Amino acid sequence: MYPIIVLSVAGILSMFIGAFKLKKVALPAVLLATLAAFGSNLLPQNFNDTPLYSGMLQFDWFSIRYAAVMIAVTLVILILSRRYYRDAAEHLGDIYALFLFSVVGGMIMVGSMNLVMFFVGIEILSIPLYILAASERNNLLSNEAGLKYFLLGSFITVFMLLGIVLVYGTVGSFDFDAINSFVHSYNSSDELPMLFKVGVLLILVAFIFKISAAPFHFWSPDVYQGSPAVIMVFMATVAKTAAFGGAYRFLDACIGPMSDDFSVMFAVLAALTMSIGNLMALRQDSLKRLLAFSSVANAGYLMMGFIGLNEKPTDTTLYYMLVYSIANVIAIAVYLTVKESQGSGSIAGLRGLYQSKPLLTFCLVLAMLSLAGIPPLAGFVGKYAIFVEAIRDGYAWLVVIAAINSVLGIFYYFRVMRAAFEPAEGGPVQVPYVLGYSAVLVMCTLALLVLGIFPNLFFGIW
Amino acid sequence: MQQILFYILALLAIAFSIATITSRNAMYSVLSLVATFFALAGFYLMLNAEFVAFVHIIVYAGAIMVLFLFVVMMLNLNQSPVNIPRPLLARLAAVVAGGIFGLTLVAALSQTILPTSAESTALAEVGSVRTLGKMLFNEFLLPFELTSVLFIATMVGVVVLTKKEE
Repeated sequence: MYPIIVLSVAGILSMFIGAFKLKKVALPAVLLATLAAFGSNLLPQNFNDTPLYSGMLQFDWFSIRYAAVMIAVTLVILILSRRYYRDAAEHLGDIYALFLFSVVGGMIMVGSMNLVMFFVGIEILSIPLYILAASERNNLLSNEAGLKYFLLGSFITVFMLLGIVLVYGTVGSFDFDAINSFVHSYNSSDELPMLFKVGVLLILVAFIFKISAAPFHFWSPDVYQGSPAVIMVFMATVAKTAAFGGAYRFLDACIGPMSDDFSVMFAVLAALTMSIGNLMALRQDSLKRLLAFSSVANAGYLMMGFIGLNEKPTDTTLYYMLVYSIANVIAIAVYLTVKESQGSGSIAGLRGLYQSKPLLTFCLVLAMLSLAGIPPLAGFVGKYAIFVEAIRDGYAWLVVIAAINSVLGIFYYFRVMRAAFEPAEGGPVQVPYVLGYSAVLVMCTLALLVLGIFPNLFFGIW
Repeated sequence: MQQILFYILALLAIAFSIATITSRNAMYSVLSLVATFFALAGFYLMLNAEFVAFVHIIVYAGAIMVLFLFVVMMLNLNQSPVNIPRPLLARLAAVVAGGIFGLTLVAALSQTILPTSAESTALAEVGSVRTLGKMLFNEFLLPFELTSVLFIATMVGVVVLTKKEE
């Protein structure tokens, strides 16, 4: 609850930056507020085992962990946004406010224990994203991305609302506990009212859209490519973490015993998603579009975590999401520097990076290796843990498909790495220096290494 | 009496909503939407939810539809019927998908016994402003307050997207 308050207030305050011409202190102030939110999230007073506010919000370990990851990744993205917004967009304060509000929405989603609260959360998460996607107003692609995301997103919201209404109609309550005991009151899920099942399915459709999994992934390449790079990485990391956390919360706390019925559906969709994502990523030239398809593919791997939900810890998904987020942030940070000097966002634009910026190239290589799932890095541990759990649940065929997909993934991740080592035609790339940028990149890369070699650091904390 | 009224309203709502999506003229489309909203408000009244009915008419049929009409008139859309290309395959796919979804819903509805709320709607109090306010400020206080974050975000968004750069 505390981080929600801190970030909401910080968001409102940061809107005054424009009014008082405080652009210089904007970023430090916002960073400080985000740090405060991170700290308040870990306060013992923030923890509660029973839902607060007439059963609306529950910050148990699950929500605190997800909130911690979301806030931490936002912090890093905000630091990196310095390069993007260096020429100081006019609405700097408003844009930071939208970032913070979006995180608030994500935290509400993972903490909610009531469908109304849940819906409010998903909207607070999404609406700032629609606006941020279109925030580069002079860029037609960005306008297209915003409009596309908004239209499809609001269309999917309608499905979710219909699903919530059907669930409410059959159960008579919005409360997760009430719905859970309603499901428990039936011996097997075959006896559950059909209308309830349809409602649950419609809510899941909304999730599948939000995590950009097949068959609702069509929006993500266009939206990711069109929106500003900083926003894109925010959508691919924080918003996706929130969507996965929310989906877990819903499957676990709300429909609990029934969630196993959807295992086969999730397995098929996961296989489809990762295959589509990886196959499409093979032929991309734009780095952003490649990362978009790689994000679709990773949604597929992550969806394997939805299978047999009742007996497994939720740690692995969060770990995978954290590791994926860090690698993605590094890739986008390198993209930003290259785009600035080259003017093009294609993979070929990376050429000559090694000659001018060996450190940056090193970070990029490790990030790509982690995304591809090469052993000493954290990406491997994440994939391994998810695969092992899927085998334990008896989905060996799915793991075979996932393994083939990982091999496919190596192809295009290595293409990016190879481009970085090739000599450029016009001499080495000149990249202007921005304070603190490399330090953050190196820290992220170290986090990837440390998390990969000592995964128990993550799994042991909680 | 109630049943007859229900069927009349239902027919009106369905007919006007079909007219909304099928009419080629934007003006007719908007006006049919207004009529649909009035029919829906009738349902709310029948369910003793006066407050929702009035809000529905004031906000949707009033404010939002007037906005729509203004936009339609200012863009002069009422003169040229809109022609959206619709390939046969997409049309077929849409009909099949919609039909399957409708069938699922009907089948599900016929197999489900909804919890009857006859006694609760019989209470005239259920939809009154007083009951609603009590619900909103007790049980649903937190979502109600957090909706303000949503509205602020939306307002900021409008400024970000539309303000002229100096």
